Amino acid sequence: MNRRLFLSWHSVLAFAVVAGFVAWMIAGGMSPGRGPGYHRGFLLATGWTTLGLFSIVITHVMRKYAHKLGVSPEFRMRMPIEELERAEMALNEIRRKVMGGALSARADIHRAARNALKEHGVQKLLRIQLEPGTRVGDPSWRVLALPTFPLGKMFHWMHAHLFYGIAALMLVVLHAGYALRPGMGGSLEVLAGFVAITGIVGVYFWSTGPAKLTEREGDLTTEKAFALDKNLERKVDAAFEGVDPALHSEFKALQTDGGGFAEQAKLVRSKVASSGQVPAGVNDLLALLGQQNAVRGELRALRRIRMRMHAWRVVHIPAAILLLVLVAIHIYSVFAY
Amino acid sequence: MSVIPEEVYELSLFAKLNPKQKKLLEAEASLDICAAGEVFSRQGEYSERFCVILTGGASMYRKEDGETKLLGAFGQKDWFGELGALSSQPEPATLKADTNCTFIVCDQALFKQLYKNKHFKAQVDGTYRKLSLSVHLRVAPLFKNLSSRQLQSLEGRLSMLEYDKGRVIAEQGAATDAVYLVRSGAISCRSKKTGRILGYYMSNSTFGEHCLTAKGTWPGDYETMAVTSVLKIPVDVLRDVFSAEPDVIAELSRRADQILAEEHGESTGLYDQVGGGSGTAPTSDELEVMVGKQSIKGGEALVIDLDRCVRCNACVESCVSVHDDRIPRLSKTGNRVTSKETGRPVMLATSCYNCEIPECMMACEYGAIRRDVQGLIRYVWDNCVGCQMCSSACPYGVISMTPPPSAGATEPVFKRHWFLQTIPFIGKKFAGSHPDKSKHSAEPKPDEKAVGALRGVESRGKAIKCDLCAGLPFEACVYNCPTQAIIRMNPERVLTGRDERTLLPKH
Repeated sequence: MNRRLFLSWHSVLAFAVVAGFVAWMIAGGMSPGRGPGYHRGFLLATGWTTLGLFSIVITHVMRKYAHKLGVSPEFRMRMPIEELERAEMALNEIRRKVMGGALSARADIHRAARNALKEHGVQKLLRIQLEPGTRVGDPSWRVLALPTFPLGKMFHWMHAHLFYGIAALMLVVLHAGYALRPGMGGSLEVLAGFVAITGIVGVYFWSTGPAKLTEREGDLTTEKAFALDKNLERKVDAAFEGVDPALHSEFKALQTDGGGFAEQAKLVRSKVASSGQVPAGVNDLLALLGQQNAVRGELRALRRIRMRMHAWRVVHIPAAILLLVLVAIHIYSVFAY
Repeated sequence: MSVIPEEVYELSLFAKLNPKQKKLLEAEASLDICAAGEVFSRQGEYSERFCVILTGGASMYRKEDGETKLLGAFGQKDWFGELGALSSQPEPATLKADTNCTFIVCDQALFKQLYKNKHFKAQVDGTYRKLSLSVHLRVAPLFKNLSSRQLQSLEGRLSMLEYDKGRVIAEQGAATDAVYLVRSGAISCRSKKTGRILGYYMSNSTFGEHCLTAKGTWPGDYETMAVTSVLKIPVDVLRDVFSAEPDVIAELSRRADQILAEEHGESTGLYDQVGGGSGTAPTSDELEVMVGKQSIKGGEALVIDLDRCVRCNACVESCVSVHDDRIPRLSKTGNRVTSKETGRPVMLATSCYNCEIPECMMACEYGAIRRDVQGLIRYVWDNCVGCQMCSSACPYGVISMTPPPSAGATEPVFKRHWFLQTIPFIGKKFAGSHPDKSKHSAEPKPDEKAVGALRGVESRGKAIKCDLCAGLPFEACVYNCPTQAIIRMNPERVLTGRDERTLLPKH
């Protein structure tokens, strides 16, 4: 299980937000939702905060698709490689000074390196990281220039999506006052719950699925199996050319997307039984079909695991889109009526 | 019009070039100026340029154990840089201009063409023996403490040998008769008995120290892993040259003992020379895996933690999105190994390793591949003719060719956004992505070409490989992985768990 998917400071922040609201409710002696003794400020705060949390979740999705489409803002930061090389040469100069002892204080090295990047205008592309030298002969500090990852890694956005999504569900419950009323409120609650649960299921599959898939794959990955299948298909087509055309068509008829090898083998057995001899070219063909059958079986099994790992998205994404539409209608209706 | 003056043919070096080589020199060589006091090439940096001084003078320095030593002076008609140009090694010394200098600069591709000329080769090799040999020999731990005079006394007594891939240089059990210094390439040492890899040797490593000790036989078969150039220093020559200085022979024997003790002890000195390693060198099993999978030659690998990878394909898709030719440089196939640090299965994806011995660069005859100051291997698109020499030379098969310009079927490379253009108000943001209306589809704008932004047509019929998202503030695959399953690290660290930054954290 990949427990790293659950370890993030976003979880602490999300928990703090929910805990803050619960503490406010208890301390103020308020009722959640719009029941008797409800507090207008609490109601509005839970509503707007939920919207804020949803916005973070949507931003993650938008960031993902913006990158995919090549319209993400960091694409505009592209710099000529020559500039980066010049900056690297300036950093080499600093590394030499560190090695020679002319620069030794951490802050000084950091400042000098940062200035070198600024001078060449690449400070948005590279960031400086200093690591203490560990081996004999190492400089006191190793100056590393690493990419800035300006919008944050998708992994961190994934954490934000997960934890703020769960926090949003909890705030929806506080906002609705634990009640499941018919109409817009109830639908929103059910939908938010559904989206959150499918998401949690998805995270569970994402954390356990890869290990299972890797174990099953062994040396034959899905990509390799796919290529092997295509290769065998070509060989089978070539082998069919040496077979009697009548048998060829019978063979083809039995071939299904899922295999049909057993039926084909049965057909050959019956031919052998009736004529007493194996038809020409059939032995090679059967061997190839057997291999193809085995590869396709493996491919099916691998696809099944993959599908299980990603199937949750089929319901999670449409439900999330519907939830957003309903949230927009809910906000509009609250202020309009 | 060539910048090369006619007088260069009066230099003995260029005197016997054939007309074709002269034409090439005039077309490809450039002139460079270096002011007095300026550093022209620096120790440890990759330059791969061969330079001939036309006017002025320069001095060569080498920094060793914190001390800077003057190795020699270069004047008019002298040359330097043959070691880097021949073997893509970092410069062994720093060259600083004493007066204002002008140089003829030949890049690696041009140098290799000229090196085919017998006279040119003899001249360069002769000078190498005279000037660079002592510098180069001092790189080897065995000869580190010898003086320049002592090293130069070996001049003329050594053999410079070149071997093809797969040649056995020394056979197990035979008497060791020489010390070998690897100039370029790589050599593995395999035990005949167990079939195990005992060690490997890359640029500037030595083997055969046994000949100076009591143990006088080769411990395994020494086989070349790539085209390899070595210096052979016969033990008889050492004994003969230093016959009047028994202390030197004693010192060499002592150092040889030390090196061999390290090799067989906890810390393999061999490995430390190459990997800059620590006390936790890889075991024979690990070395065997790395050598077997050729990962040993790689500088950096793209490692996929298979127990984390959800196979969402975000890495490949993001690779596509940063390259306008819409061809991914990443393929999720490669060798599987188990990380010693985490015990989990990882894949060394077939993405450019930026090798220490870049066979692609050595194979390219058009100067289309160069190494930048960080040591990364980059393409010079204008020079690539699509000959596929690099892709066939690459031991990992990470270089692929884009479809040739005549392959019209793949023409609409910018078609991906056409439907987005139909969106009201924001559709214009995607204008230019339609093949017919594209402002990019014809010729790349000069600035785009300068930043290496591959624009459709430009990369047609050329070699492509992972460019580490050149010029962008991220490596797209690493940046967009939702589970942090993909990371760039040294392949040896995957097996030895020696990564200080713990790039593949434990659960």
